Amino acid sequence: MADSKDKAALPAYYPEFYTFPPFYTRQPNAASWSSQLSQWRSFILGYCRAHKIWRLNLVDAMETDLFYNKSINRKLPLPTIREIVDDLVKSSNAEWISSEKSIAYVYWRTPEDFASQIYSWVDETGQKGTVLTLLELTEGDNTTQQEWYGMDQAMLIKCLNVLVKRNQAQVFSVGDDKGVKVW
Amino acid sequence: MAFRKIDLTPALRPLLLPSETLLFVQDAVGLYEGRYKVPNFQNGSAYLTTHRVCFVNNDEPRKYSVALELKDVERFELYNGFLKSSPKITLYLRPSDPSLLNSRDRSTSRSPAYSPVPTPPRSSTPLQSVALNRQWICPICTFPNPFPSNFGPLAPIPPCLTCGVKPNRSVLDAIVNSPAPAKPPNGISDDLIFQAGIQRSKNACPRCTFENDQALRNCEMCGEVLSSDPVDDLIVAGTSSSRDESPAPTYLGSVPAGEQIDCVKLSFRGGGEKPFHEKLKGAMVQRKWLLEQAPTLPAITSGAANLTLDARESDTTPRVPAPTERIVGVRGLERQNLALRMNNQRAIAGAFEDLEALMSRAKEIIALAENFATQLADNPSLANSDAKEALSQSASLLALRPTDFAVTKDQISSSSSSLSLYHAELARSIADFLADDRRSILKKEGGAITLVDLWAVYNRARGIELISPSDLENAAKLFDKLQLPVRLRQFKSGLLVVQERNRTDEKVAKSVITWLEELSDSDIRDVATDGKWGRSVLAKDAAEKFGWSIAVAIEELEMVEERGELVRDTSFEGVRWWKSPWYISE
Repeated sequence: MADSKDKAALPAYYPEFYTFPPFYTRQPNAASWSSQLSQWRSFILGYCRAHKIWRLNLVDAMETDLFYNKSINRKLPLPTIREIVDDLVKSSNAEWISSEKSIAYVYWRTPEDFASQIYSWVDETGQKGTVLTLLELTEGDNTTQQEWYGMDQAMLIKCLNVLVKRNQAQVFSVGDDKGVKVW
Repeated sequence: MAFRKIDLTPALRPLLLPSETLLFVQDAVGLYEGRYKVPNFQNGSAYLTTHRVCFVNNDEPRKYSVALELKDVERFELYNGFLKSSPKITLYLRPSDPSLLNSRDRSTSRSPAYSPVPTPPRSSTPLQSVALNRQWICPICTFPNPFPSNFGPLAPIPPCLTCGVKPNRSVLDAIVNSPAPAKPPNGISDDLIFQAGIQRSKNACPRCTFENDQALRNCEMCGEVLSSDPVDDLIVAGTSSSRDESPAPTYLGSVPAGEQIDCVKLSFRGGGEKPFHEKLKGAMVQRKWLLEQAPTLPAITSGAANLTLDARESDTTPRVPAPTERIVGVRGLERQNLALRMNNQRAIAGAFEDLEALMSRAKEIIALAENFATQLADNPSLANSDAKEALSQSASLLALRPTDFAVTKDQISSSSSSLSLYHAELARSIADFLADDRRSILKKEGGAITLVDLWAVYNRARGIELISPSDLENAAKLFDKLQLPVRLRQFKSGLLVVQERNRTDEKVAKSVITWLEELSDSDIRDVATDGKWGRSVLAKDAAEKFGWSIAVAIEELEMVEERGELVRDTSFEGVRWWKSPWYISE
């Protein structure tokens, strides 16, 4: 069947409802909506993680596979996307960058998780006590295999701030750039 | 007992006889037999029809509903009420068997123990009993008027009911003094004379002395009501002649032994006795029940009988075909057909001459219309189905009987609660209309009809005396209160529909879901979606499937969605409905 081929082509993080047309309509029924919402949430997070998306521009994303299933010609409307991201923000899985709610940071892991990951990476690579620039962390050759590779600077600072709060790091400015020292 | 249990329509109104029409309805009525309140019959509605007085209990209508034939009523009087005693209408029954002979004396001998309710003063003067069953013939128009019950030397003389001219006092005096139904001085009513005399066995007419057949209740010659025959009453009233001691099964109350019921009272606790009395008076004068027995208008010709007259009519008035030349073969058939057509033509032409004639020939015309309809159905030459449909529709419209369910404001008492009573009656009549098997309106509409559609259909069926939308809405709001088989339902959007009572949301949801599951994969329209999700439908599909109107279909689907069993898919082609994969049935 053509369907099974389609399904096989889809990565695992695609929900099974990806081909279900009502999935792209905001369900007025509260019970249906809550199921729909939770599936959309996990799909957005899974998709962002797979595509390493840190900043989600809603208008741009509308045209991507995330919100647009070309095979059934269904598109999740912008207000519904906003509603879902709002819900992600509420559970601190996302954060609006601007007040007009068009771009959001998507934390497919919580800042605490990232902070712990950074800390253990620094620990494993024996760089404790050395100063690392933020660019080194996100763009450096050593971190390409890490989950936070390519992370947005502003987001990274948020994650590092978690370490600062735990008294495990210190963030300071190095010229134009910012640096971090983990101990 | 003169009361008989009656059948009710699904809407809990009395089932009317074919030629019976409703005249008046009054609620908050209680029943009395003789002087005693009848238990279980103290809170109900009184329906006055051309033939009967019906009582329908408000609380348990199926159990406690009775009717009294007007033909069993000898006379009636109005009591206006005094202090705490409600106005009442007393219906004096025609004594129907010999055991009643002494009843009048007995019932008037009051024992203080048995007078729980005040009763209107009932005169038992000899003069009045003379007046019973008497008539005086108007010298102007020869109409037989009922003898005034209060006739006396000083009493005013009533005018003739037909021409309105007051007769000379001597006319009435002559009746009182006439020796024919001589009244024995001992106070025994003149019924005794009829029943004991030799006339009784032969069922002789008290007025014209024609000796009628035993089975007849009215004189064949002059139409006078014949004194009742015990055999007759056994059949009609289901009583036994010895019921003085043992009440018949249909006996309603607990009247002390030895007390005989000769009158029935309707107590009007909510007012309305005056219009009821007026209408009752009219009904008693018109005596529609006599018309039923009387031969119909001279038929157009005897040849049309087999076509136009229904079975009952041809039974009662067997027609003897005129001895005609016997013609056999095709020619004979042709001639027969020709004669038939001529008759039909004449019938139609005659009927439309004026409305009066139409009314009197309504039965025949309806029969004709029905006949045309069946002929049309068989006729292969009418290839154009549209025309056929239109014709048969107009024929069936002609056959509609609006009197079946038309309640008009003037039938309802004008007392304080009249408006709600009118609406209640309207609600009942609408329920009857919807439950009518011949129309099966609700079935055609898939079990639910919007109020707007109902208004149009109902008014169309009424034809005359149209009701206003607000009256319909008010009536529909009473469906629940009156426990009718239909109910008014408001959808989330505010759309009002009338639907069968047993049609619950669960049932609708179940049928919709079953339907969605049953839709085969073979005719999937969305090629892009795999079979995993089943099939989707538009509101239009549901409307077609269940016979709903589109508005109802949308509302029903949204109702199922509200239950979580459906999900919607809004796209450029409209809203498609899918079975919800998220729904977890409890």
